[in-house]
Amino acid sequence: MIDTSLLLNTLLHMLPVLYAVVFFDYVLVFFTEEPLIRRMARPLLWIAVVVNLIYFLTYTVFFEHIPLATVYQALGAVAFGLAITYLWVESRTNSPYTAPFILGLSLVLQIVHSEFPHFQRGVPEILQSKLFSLHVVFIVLGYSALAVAAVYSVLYLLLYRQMRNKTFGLVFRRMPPLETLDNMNFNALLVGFPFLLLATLLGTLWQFDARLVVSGVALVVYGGAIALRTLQGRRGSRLAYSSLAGFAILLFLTGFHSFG
Amino acid sequence: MGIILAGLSHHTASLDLRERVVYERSEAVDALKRLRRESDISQALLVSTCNRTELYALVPEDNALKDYLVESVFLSRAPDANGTMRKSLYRRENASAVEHLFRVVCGLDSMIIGEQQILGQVKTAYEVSQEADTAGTLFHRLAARAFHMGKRVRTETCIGEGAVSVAFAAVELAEKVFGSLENRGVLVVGAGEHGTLCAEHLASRKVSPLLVANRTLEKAQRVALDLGGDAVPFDNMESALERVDIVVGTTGSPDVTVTRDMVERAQKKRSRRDLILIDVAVPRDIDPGVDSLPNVFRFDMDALQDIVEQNKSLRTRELPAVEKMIHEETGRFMQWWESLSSSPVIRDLHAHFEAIREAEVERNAKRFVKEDREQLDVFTRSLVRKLLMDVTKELKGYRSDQPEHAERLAALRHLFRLGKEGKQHDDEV
Repeated sequence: MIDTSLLLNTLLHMLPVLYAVVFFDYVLVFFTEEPLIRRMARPLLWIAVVVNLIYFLTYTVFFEHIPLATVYQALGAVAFGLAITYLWVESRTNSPYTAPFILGLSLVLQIVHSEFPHFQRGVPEILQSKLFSLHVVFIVLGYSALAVAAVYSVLYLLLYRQMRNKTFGLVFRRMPPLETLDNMNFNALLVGFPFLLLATLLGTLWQFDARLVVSGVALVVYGGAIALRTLQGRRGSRLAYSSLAGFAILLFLTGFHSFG
Repeated sequence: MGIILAGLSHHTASLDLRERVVYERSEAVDALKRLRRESDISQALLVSTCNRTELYALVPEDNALKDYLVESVFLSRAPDANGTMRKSLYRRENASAVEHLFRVVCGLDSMIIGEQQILGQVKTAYEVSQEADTAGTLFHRLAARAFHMGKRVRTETCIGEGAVSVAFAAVELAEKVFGSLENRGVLVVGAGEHGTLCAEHLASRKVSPLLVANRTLEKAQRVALDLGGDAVPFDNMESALERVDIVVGTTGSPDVTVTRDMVERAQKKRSRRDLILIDVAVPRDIDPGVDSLPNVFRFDMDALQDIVEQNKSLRTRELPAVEKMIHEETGRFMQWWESLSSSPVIRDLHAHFEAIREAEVERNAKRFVKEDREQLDVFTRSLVRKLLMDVTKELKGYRSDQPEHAERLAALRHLFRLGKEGKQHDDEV
């Protein structure tokens, strides 16, 4: 008979280790381009993602609710979302060089998540509401996509500055073309924006507080950026700055609720 | 018998001398056929490019024959410059010759380290060799390993990465902004040499439209025709700016041709999309003031030269790794070649059958009483020896330099998976 609590605890503490291994492997790829290390990178990430999925499913079955009851669990879910998103991005672009930036963020969130475990069968009443669960899921998906957009915005601006200053360093050599970074940023915004919008609308069903107002401001920033890009072709550095401004608002002025 | 290389290259000979020993495809076929007809040489490869002419051949230990090769392929082409030609020629033998070919295909011996073109040129030389019927077992294997090396070093190292000419550096920069350049508009301002070379490289990326503006419309039309684009009057340059994503300045005019105001107005009309301005003119054609406009990237000769130098040093840094790969591959090739002489094949064949015999005797030993076991051992040993007697006698007369003998020795290794080489060959098949 397997002790499920022990299994979950082991998996939870394995996750940061696995993500750290993956992160350092991708960092080495970025700096050295060593073929063997590069070949190992994606399979290692797959292992981390599968273990994360096993943890997620085991937790859900054992505690009869998805692991989103605390802020830290929500951060863990965002970390998981970032890793999955990156896997998809790498399969599309076949370029491993943006990994350290996205998986670095994922690793930090995963460490925070595992430092504050929450193993309780019962969930607060509010979390038993299906609509509220949906709100939480939308928030996690939205934050994951918008975090990816922010990372690609930073990378865009780094490369943009190197090219404008004619300093052709490591970032110049390793990064995908500016337009690819710009498109990744925009596509991530297209995914993240509707989730954030739906989450905010659902959030108003329970309480209308400052947090929702700030979310609304972030939505205006993101929505404006998407509209200007679609209607006026406004892209490049200005889209990157808008994306970063939106994420900064979300990160520093709003936050997750905690019910644990 | 041994592999000999005789040749000259840009390291040892002037262009004047090199161009006299360049062999066109049909000439190379004839030269190889003549060698085959007039001498004992059955396997040879003639690599001839603008930077080198090299003959690789399998020859017996006969100095007169080696001299004949040099005379036939090199000296006969420049009877009036035999002295200079002799001084420019280099010779390598066996492992050194093999290693040299590997260095050549990897681009280590090229003017520009790691350049890709040489791999295709050696492939063509191999096709010529096949056409002239001078590509036997040895050269087939040598060529296959050389092509494998050529691809491997370019995949596993950065030896062939990055632009190493100003024109390619311009394309690399444009691709770093846009990714694919297909259907990106290009405007070439002027008809300078660097600029038209840039435009040629851009045209090969299927850019569209490709516009050429010059103070003399006729000249613009001529350049546009060469590049497969359209000429625009010089006065309409500003409206042309609105239609393109890349501008190449190449007039060499003392004054700035593309001003900040022109670019600013054009950018407003093109929704401030990314615009690349490549200035290969000296004095410069494009106003450096455009640097303050968002989403505008200006690169002048200094910037392009920086990229070229960085890429060159990046390639140079890869040299030790590539040299190591080449050295290892040469070792493997020579080991394979040596394994094709008859003695190791006979030794391995006997060892193979002896191993089977021993295993069978061991397996069946319990069926015999103790006294008979010794007899069984003697009997089976004698049986194996007799079974292999005829084939051993035949193999002792084989010479690995005879193509049909080498084929049969290789086949034996393959069929019985003899030694490391036989197993390795199986894995490759």
